[in-house]
Amino acid sequence: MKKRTLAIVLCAGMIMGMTGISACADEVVIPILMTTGTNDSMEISDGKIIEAFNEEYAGVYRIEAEKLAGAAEDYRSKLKMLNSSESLPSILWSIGTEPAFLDLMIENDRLVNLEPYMEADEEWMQNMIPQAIEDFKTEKGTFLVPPSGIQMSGIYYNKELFEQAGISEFPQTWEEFFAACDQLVEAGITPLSLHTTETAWCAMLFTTAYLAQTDAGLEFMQQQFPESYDTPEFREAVEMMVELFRKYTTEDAVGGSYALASNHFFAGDTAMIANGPWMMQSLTDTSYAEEGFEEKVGYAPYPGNAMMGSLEAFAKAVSVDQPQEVIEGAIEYLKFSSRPEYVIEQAITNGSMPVTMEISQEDIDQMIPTMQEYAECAKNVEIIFPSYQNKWDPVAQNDIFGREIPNLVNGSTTLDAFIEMLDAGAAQYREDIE
Amino acid sequence: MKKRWKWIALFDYAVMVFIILISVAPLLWILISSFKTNKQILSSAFSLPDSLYLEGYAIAIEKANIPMRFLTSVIVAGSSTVLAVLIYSLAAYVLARVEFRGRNLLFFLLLSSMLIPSNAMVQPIYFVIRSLGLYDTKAGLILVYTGFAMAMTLALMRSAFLGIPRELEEAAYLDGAGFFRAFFQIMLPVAKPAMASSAILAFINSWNEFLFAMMLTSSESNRTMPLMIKYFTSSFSFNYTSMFAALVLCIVPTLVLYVILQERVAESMIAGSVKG
Amino acid sequence: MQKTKKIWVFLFLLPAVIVFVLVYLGPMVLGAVSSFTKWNGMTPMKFIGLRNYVRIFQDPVFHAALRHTLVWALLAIVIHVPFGVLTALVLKRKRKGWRFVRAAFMVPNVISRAAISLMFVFIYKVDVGLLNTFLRFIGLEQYCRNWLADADTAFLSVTNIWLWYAALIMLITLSEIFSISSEIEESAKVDGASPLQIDFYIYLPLLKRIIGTGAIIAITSVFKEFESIYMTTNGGPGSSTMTISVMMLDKIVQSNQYGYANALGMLLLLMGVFAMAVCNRIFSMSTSD
Repeated sequence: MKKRTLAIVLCAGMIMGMTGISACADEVVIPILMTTGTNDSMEISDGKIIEAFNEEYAGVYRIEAEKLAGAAEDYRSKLKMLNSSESLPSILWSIGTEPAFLDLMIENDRLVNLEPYMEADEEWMQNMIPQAIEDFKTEKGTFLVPPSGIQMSGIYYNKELFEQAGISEFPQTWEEFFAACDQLVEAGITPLSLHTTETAWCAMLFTTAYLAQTDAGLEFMQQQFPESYDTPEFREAVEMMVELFRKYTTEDAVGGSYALASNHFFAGDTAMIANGPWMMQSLTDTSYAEEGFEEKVGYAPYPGNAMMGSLEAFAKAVSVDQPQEVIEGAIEYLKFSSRPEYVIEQAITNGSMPVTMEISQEDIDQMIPTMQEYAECAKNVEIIFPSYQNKWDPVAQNDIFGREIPNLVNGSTTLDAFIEMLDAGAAQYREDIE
Repeated sequence: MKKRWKWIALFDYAVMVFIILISVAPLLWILISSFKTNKQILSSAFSLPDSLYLEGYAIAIEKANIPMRFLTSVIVAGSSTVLAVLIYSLAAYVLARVEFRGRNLLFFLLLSSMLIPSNAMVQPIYFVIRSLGLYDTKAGLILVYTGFAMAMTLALMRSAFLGIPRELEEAAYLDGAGFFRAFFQIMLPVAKPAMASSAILAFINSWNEFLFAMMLTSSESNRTMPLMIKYFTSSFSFNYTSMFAALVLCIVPTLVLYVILQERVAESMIAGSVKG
Repeated sequence: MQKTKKIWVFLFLLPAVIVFVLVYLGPMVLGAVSSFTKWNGMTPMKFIGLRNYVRIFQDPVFHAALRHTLVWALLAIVIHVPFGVLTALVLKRKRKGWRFVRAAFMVPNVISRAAISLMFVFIYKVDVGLLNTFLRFIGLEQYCRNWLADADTAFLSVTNIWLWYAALIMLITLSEIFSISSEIEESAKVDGASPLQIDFYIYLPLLKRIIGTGAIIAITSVFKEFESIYMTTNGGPGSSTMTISVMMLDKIVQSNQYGYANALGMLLLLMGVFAMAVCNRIFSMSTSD
């Protein structure tokens, strides 16, 4: 007994000595964790709205962001750690991207059920995408915030490099696409920025776009946690991806990271990178690219006029780990950010295209040229396919893509073995969540 | 006969050059590269910098908040070192001098901590720290690092106390000193060299520790220097200059400490390895 | 007097015991118990008997991790330790600059492992890395590789990050050598023994004990090796550089499988204890003769 008391006293002493006690005013502080430093960071996408919120609600609520340098994947890893210590920040970004983790959170009552709050506020409801309200409903309630806009991903391309290779128009079919790549290579230009870590994002965007060109492939893409990856369409898409790695990308793509891949594009080393409009603001950021770089960059859908878009991908959620007044503040922020002026603002800066409200020509004129091209693509797109990150099991994404794609590319693994590993992983995942 | 010795000399120098090559050359390369611009690094790995380009350092210091990390590292490594030396000196003294039932068992038990590869305990330690409410505090890291220094400090201090002649304390007792005073006024000062050795080892180990620092903290104000490396690889991998600069900044403090205390560090390492 | 002394004894021991309980005993018990359960940190532990262990032994990734750990232990014994001893034997002849060499060799041992590992990432980089640049420079372009991303070279490349840095072995061996009277060497020289003969027949037998200690140090540090993988390949490509520690962290951070991860931890712990016992056995045998 005595030992325990002493231990507690000892530890208490340490804590007090180390952390100190911060003074608190009446203002409710809403803690969040925010990625910074990468060109798809939350600081870029949400920073301004948070600033505006803090200004308007000064004295009542204040969002305090702790900066996390790193990619979205680092952010989610961190959330997982914080989750198991029941110390999650208030508003959570990006967890819709990892359905396995999201399911676990919902199952264990780690998220606030937003339904009562939504139902109590007509105006808020009206700003949300109706499809998302529908889709996000679960048996236990609604745990992801239905967004007001949707971001879709296509291809950024360097017009100057395309011109150098004598390509005047961005390819519209896959055949033309490969021909264009060959033409770029002939002109001494590396066509693509690809990478294998972080679930091989840029490469998988091309792969799943390729997959989505057939009905069977698109259907496969709609499956939640597919039991088997052994379909002819998936095989063909993977084979195509291997070709991309072997013929059309930089030396360091195999084993490389997203940051490395995007760096190549921004430095003008490669002609194309697949990514969504959240990267748009970096085009004008001189710490990434030379001044005027954005004028060289065009935007196009994947061949076959397809784009990737998932309502879940950027949906936010609210954690139960914070006290009630913080939860209420967080919900206040979510409402705040769905106000038309901010939804439009998000469209202009981040390409989050509103569904429930009109975007005027005036607004479009405010966009940088690349974003205008994007808005045009998003309007005319024919096939929208979901993000594989929302659909496929975490074993495939985290363990197998990152580690086995390099082997696939340099020939030390066969396609059959690769598919087999994916299926085994899927089976293992099913067993885990039982 | 003479010739044979000559060949040996040649061989010796070859080995020595090899060691210099693998130990110093890469560090030198990092240092030189940190003054080159990104473009220069990309165009040639060997070339010397055109001019003294300091932007990399500026970015590294600004983005990674190095002064704060440095302070955190100093607090964490410093406190755990002081705590470890103090706590284990007390225990080592008792284990060396006082006869009581179960003494050997206790000593063996405490020393057995050496057998446990700390990596194997990541999640359980995380759980314990969290249960104590010490997750994401410097105190949590200090506690764990103090624990990691246990076996080595205990062994070093105990053998130091065993080497002190009993007459010394007995004289103190005759002067009317109590157990407490005898320890602090007589024994501890004599064991200073062993304390210094333990402290150096504990400090270097705590300063460099990576895995637990990563797992047990989350806010930037509790992140230590080695984690800076991770920070840079995940978000600044496009800026080689800053990465090299960050590497240099992470290495320099320990390097300076080592250069100053070179002989002592070497002695401590020997003592720690052989006795621990 | 006796009673106050007792209290002092108790108080002197108490902090160490508390730290031991919090950092070693408690976690070990928790790790051992949870290794028999399914546990994600959110729901209570669910006892599942030996299922985690059965699954581990069926997992091909674990087979790779185990193999790598064992190969590393072997390399530690046949290359790392002998290289350390060799440098000690070389430095004992006190050639010009030996002090500097001794000091320089220590440098990689005192700086952070994470920093060293990142340094090697740069050395191995496919386009601007030191190694490939050097190979191109001397005209061996055909040997250029993407060292860390190529399944054929990744394991070797990662091993290189620790294999040659045997400064600690060198240090303890050298200090042992200096404690041996130099008369032995002098008289052997007079008898016409060659330097190699002196090293082999005079020094090595005397150094047996310290080499045993060195072997233990090397093997335990191999079991602890983490940053050199985590910062470079994170186990890939494939499972070609996977180790038990990295696998464990993956299970903890990526998929919240704490029971499984702790079962891996227990195996790592048992391996550590076993290796220690084996080394001790060999080492005590050598002291007896």
